[in-house]
Amino acid sequence: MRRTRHRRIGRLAAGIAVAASLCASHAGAAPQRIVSIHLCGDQLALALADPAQIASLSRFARDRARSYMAEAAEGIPLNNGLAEEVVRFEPDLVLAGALSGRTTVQALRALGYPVLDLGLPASLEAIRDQTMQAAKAFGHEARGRVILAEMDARLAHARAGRPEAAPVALVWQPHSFASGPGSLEHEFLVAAGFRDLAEELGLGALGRVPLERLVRQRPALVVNWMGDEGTPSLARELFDHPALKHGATRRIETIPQRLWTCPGWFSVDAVERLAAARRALTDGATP
Amino acid sequence: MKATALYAALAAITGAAFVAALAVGYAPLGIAEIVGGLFAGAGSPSSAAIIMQDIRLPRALLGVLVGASLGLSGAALQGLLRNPLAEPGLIGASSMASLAAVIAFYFGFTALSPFILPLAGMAGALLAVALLYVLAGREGSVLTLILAGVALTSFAGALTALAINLASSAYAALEITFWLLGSLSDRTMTHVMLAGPPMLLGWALLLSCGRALDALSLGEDTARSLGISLSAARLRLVLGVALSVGAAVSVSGAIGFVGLVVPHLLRPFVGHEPGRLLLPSAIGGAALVLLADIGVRLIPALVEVKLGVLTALLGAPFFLVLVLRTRRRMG
Repeated sequence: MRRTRHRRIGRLAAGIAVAASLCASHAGAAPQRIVSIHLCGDQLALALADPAQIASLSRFARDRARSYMAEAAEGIPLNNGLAEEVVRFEPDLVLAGALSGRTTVQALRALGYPVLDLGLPASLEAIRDQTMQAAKAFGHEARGRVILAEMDARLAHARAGRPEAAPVALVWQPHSFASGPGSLEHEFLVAAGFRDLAEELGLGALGRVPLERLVRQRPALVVNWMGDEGTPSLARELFDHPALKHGATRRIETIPQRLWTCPGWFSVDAVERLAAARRALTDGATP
Repeated sequence: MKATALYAALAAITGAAFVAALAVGYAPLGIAEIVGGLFAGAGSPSSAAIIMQDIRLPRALLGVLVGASLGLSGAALQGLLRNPLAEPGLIGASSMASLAAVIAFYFGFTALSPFILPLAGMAGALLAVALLYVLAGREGSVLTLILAGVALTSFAGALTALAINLASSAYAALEITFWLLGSLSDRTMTHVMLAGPPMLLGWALLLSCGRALDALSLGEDTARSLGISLSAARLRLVLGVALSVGAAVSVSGAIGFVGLVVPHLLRPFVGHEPGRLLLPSAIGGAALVLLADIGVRLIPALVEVKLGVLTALLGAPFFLVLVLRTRRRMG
């Protein structure tokens, strides 16, 4: 009984120390038993923390379709994101996120574990902020700056050679959703040198462009932001619609799930794909 | 009303609805573009041709096929079970077909062959109708029938919930949920070609049962004395409902209450002979689904209101009134 209480007090103290380091942003006590219950936390931990600092990752960490850092996750124990499993690892930092069960996060906080709650970044700036926030929390601020510098260099390269008359593109999703200004997708389109059809139609971050209007507007590129990996889905069926193949658009570009499920520094890959598509369209060359 | 006048009126409404379904859409097209696009040669690159031939025409054709299947099946089931509350949705045929289609779609079986989806829908509907017949068939009690239907619907709902639960991602779960609401948006000619033939075969089976249904309305003994083979007629009806409803659900998701509402609206015009209700219910069902599908395209919303949601919103109060009226008649 006493031992348990001691351990709990110790854990609380460690929690406060990490929380303090999160606030004061000086790497005093870097966490040594990081447990991530969220795919986004997995990516950040694998890229920014030492393998020895990671106690467990979410069960999606090794899923190559969704996890960009899947290969690095080999050999690290996985969890299903439930409080009970997390407690077993006695973490000194828990990484949760937008889609983690809220009850789990509350339970872990009530038990005194420090939880870093990660949002889904909706802009390049948010990606930068989140990367640095995590790098500081892990005690590896310099690593955060390095991967962000690499991201910015790649972005600059993708931006290079943008034509005067940018071709029009649309990021389109099932149920006729389209991503416009205010979304990460829009920022990526513009960074890659496209004009966004959703913006020209006056839509916000999430608007609607029915197939008929898409056919009418004829964007040069339609972006399938849903990927086509894994189980067959209505999304894939939609991008096989004859209307798209009969000349409504010149090109369909599919962005793999691992680049958008948890947007991060590596999502610059998507910008590079879009920029390559733009070059192919404006050069008139076939990919 | 004379039968010919009724058919003429129904055909005129359905024809007008079909034309309206081709004229209404998200891209404003002028009459010249609509006609020109519809009759442009194959492979014409104009956007009007793509919109008319690849988007609106399959949608309108499926509206006719799905609506007629549901209306006809409703009329046939009401005759077979001698019960005014029978309907493909209420007796569990639609939800079992949905379940089978969801399983086929999300666990990858449809990748094997495009025929898997309609086949799964038909198998689900067949299982439902057969089970219902075993559970509540012969005596035609309202209570047993509705309860058996509720049991089947709940069972199919539980298994569908399991499929959502086990779906590989939150996104797949969302897709199943949306698909279950029922819709005809952005379907293709492939859907028409896959689901059309089984629906037509189902219609033929159901329409061949008119005389048997008329005889059955006089009681089983009378029907037998009139020389009707009841077991053969029942088999044709069960297969016909399974083929038409199963194939319909596999392309559109579940669209409820059409099979309940249409025969009821038309019964006063044909008298109370179930056989004479079959063909009018098919035409009326087509008109109702076409009109509802025009409605969902005219309602302004960020996400298109699903066709099945609209028919349920209209149909559920209708069902309630019908239950109250049936109770009054029985009480």
